[in-house]
Amino acid sequence: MMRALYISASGMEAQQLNIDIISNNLANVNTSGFKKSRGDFQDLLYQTIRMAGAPSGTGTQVPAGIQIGSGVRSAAVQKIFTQGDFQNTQNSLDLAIEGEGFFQVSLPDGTTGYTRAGAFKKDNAGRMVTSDGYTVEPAITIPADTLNITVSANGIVSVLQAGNPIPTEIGTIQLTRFSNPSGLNSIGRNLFLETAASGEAVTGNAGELGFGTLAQGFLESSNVNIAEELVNMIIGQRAYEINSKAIQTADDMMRTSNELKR
Amino acid sequence: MNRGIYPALSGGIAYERLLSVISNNVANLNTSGYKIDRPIFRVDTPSSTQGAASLGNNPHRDKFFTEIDRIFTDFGSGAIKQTGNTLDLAIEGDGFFVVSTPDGQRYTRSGAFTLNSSNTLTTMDGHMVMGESGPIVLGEGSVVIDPEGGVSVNGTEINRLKIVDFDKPYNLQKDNNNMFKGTGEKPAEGYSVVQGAIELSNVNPVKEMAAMIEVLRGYESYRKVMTTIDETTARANEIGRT
Repeated sequence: MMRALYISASGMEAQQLNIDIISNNLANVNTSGFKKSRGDFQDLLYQTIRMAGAPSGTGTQVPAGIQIGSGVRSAAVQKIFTQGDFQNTQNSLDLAIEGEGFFQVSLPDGTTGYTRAGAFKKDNAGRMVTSDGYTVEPAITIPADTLNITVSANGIVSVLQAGNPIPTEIGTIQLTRFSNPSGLNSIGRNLFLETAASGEAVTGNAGELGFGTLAQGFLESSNVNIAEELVNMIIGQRAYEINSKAIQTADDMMRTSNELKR
Repeated sequence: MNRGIYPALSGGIAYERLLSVISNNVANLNTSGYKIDRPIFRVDTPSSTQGAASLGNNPHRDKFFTEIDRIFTDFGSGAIKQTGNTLDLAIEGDGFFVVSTPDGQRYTRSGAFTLNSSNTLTTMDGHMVMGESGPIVLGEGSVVIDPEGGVSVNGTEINRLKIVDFDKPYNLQKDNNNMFKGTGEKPAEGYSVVQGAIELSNVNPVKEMAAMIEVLRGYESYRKVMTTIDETTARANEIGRT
């Protein structure tokens, strides 16, 4: 059977994955703290029909052999942690990280999740929580009689309470960084989990060496660039098409051979 | 017996292989650092190994076979695409990154790198990218790679990417995973490393599309030749019948 059929099928499969990734990026264009992904592709095994460097006669060598590739595979779907744009929301519990780092969130199963989406809220006990109600670590409880909340660039949360003209410090928001954020495991809901590939979580205060600073009243929008994704989508679609044309050519060739014997 | 059918058949088989090569090129349209393969055909006679065969007065004119002589990899550079990712690297000019794999040293133009858990620069398969002084271990801080391949973390140069080149024409074999193997490396010259960009594949879809049309039509012509020979032989078999 023709190799070309399977080779092109692998190409179509790769482009399909590519379009899947692009669609997910586009679907999350308005998700705060979302980081776009990119598919990385690699060529597959080569079948060596004639080995380069093999003797071709007395004292002569084959200068370049015959190696026929067998298509493409997806090597990785890599998350790209470039900074997203800042969106001014004026909301005192909206926090954006300018630079590296993640907020720590304690998940219901006791593990710690990491997020760049800083759209925090208050729950009924006054704790600072994510939109899903997961508490921020280290826990910060906002007193009921709070009039105004201020978060400094280095993460210190102070509140102005009724009847007290001097702000009170109630806690510090700490950040976590990883040596290889692309290795983090995405679990949805804007959350990431630590993996062996991401390296160990390093926790520190915002503004310390290597950590970003916090901006209150801002949200980090996704780092998806619509124009770039659309261009990638066009390339992906055309690449898919040309692979299908190769299958069509193989099919036409087989039809031609079938007509050989009438 | 008319043996002309066999040379025509060899041409058909060669075209079938050519289509495999084209399919592999188009399957890798989006593979960074992929280099296009182009087959070179030759006409072969069974006696050509014993001496030079000239077409004119060769009595075995019906034994000329077409086959793929070799597949030549076009190392022309692909377009460089800006990605903004710190660990995406592209080489402008000639040269290859050196990657250490369990099967030995390999070379690649695909610079989509990442880090492993011990902070070492690796390919997407986890093979270490080599620097002049061993694997490149990036410490905490911002990573800057200058055009000569010097790797600096927080302003201090910690290592230098090993960029090698080979004598031209390149005698490199393709290994899978965007890598090449070969011998005779020497330090590359006149290159520049671009940080935050990757080299796209150098496959030109228009040319491949045209090549596909050529394959299909060429294959059809060979089939016509075979059908004609078949018909002629059938006529010859009918001689003497009334």
